[in-house]
Amino acid sequence: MWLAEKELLTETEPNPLIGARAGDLRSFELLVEPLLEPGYRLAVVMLQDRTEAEDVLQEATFRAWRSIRSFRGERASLKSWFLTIVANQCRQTRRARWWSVVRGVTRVRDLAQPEDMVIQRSDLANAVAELGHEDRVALHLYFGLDIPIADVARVLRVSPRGAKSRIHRALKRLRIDLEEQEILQL
Amino acid sequence: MKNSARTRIASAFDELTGRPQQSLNAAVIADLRRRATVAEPRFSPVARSAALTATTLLMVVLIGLAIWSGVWLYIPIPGVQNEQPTKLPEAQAIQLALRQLVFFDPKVFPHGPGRQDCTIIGGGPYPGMRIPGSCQTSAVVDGAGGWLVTFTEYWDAIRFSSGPTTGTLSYRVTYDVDANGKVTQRYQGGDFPPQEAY
Repeated sequence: MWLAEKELLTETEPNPLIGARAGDLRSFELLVEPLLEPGYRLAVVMLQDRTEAEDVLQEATFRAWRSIRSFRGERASLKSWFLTIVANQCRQTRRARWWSVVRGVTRVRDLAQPEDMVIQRSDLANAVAELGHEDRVALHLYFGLDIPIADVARVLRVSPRGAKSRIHRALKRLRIDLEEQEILQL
Repeated sequence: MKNSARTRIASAFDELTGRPQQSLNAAVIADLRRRATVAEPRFSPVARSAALTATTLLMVVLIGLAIWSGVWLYIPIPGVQNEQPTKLPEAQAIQLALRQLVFFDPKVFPHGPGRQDCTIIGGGPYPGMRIPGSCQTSAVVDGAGGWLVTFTEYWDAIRFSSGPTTGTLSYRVTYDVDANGKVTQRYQGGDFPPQEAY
């Protein structure tokens, strides 16, 4: 039996995932709208450029629409699926611009638009901005977007162990000691 | 708990990334609607597999045709001389070259590719020296429809030599016979030959 048919039988309320898979654009919009802000934030962290992040988000959203038919996960895993598409699009953009490698992490300092926000930024935000690209993205996914470690690994295209190690490394650099409960979660 | 590490880090990222413009969602959705309506046709799995099968079949047919017609023989491969069909028959090219043979006695060479025993008539006092040896005729394709025809005589160094006294010595003449039958001498040389003895 098809997964879509199962869902039809078990759920009483209309499931936009089924509609989206069937090609209904409105259903897809309902699904994707809550994911746009996390996607945008991830793109900003990965690309360090707001304008590029917006372009990437548009492209990733369209790609998600094109491939929603092949999405076989549950609705809960839609967020990590969408963020994976955003991350892949960011990687393509970074590869396409060879000069992106020469742009330092200091570019992050210019991210917040109002000038005075830069001055008011906390020490921790500045320290996060100084992290390496991979560590910063891992940290953002886990703490900033609150994604489970398995999904962080999926987005980063590394093993869960590799994702944990990046987060630990980033925390060590930030000199942040997690509370015991958070360590157990990690 | 004052402020957990998770919350602090999340706040730090909020500071870094800032909030997206309120119009961003609307802009992304509008772009999606526009592109979704004019998007390229989405091929169904059936159509995609049918196209793949058709492409594969076409490739197989083209490869089969190439093999059947021998097209690959005409594809130049660096370092390999392709066996191209020639307009001038090999035997005719050898005959034309034999007619031009002056340095050697044409009668002692095979009229086709091969090697045979022969007596080399050398120089010296009349009637000249007689050296037993072997005479070889060979032909290889050269250029478009032409041939390189080579006549080579071999003799034992014990019999005649201006240098070493052991081993087999040789002397050869090569002609270029083009597709129109025009003969041009390409090369002549080797060990000091009996013909040049005096």
